[in-house]
Amino acid sequence: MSERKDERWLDEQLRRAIDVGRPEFDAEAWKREHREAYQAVLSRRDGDGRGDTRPHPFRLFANPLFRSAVAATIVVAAGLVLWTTRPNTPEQVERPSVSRALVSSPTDIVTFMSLTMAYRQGGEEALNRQLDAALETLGPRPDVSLLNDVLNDLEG
Amino acid sequence: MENRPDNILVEQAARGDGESFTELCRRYYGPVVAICHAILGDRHLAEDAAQEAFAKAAVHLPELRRADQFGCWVAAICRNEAKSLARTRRRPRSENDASPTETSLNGDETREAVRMALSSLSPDAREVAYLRFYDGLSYDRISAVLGISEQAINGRLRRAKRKLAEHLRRQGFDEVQL
Repeated sequence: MSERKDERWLDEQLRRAIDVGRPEFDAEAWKREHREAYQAVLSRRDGDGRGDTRPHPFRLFANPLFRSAVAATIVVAAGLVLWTTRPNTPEQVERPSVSRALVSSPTDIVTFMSLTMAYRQGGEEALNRQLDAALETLGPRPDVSLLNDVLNDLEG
Repeated sequence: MENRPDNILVEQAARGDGESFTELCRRYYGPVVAICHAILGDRHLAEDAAQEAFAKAAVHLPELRRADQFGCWVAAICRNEAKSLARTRRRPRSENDASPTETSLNGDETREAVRMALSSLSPDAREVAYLRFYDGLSYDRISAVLGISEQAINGRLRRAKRKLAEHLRRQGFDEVQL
């Protein structure tokens, strides 16, 4: 028997063994028996299904454009974090900061914070400059006689 | 409705069109029952499993990522459903069942031997044989369900037939010389 004839014979035997009649889908019976499942399909009629504008998380992440945008955002955010938290360079530490001593408010000039900053940035010289600037800005002390008048008034 | 491609029907079903979904069920019922039958060896159980698989597909349809892959997706669901059913219950066989293990009721030894040979195949090979001979499905339709090329289906089917022929020869059917 030739191979082709053998194959035809085998095909015929397989058909006889396997083909037990075309299965027909009874849609109405299926809808009755699986009412909840069918309702799940119908319930998406008001935009709760694929047509919904809300993106499925996995589907959204599968989008290459979305992945690129996320990667770019991460890179930019990491760059910003590194830039803002980087240690002070030697140039910054050694930079003379005379201008920092001259702040607008006299109160600010003599605060502990500003004096400390002045000392850190320029040593004693800068601290002296800051204090001189404070004296210049605050001006001379009030006259002693005027101060006595004020105290007398207060005491009645 | 009948001429619309799968992806359109899936899109419409996902937007709540029940008729599109039942058309998909109608379209894939045969292949899905064939796959279940290959696993369960029982026509009635296979139909039960197929209907359960479509119920699960109805609920999880929005999770289908590629609308043109519905056949492949529902086939995967039905495989799981059939395997689960095979573990949980075995229904008494009827005479219409094409079980590879049942004893012959009509005296056709050849048919019985072929069923025994089919049961000796690997699940993949048995599945492709059932798909091809259950309802004379075209390679194109089988490809839509298995998600492999027609060449791959042809190769898988040829290997399956060769193994079947070997098995049958061992059973004394000398006329098969593939």
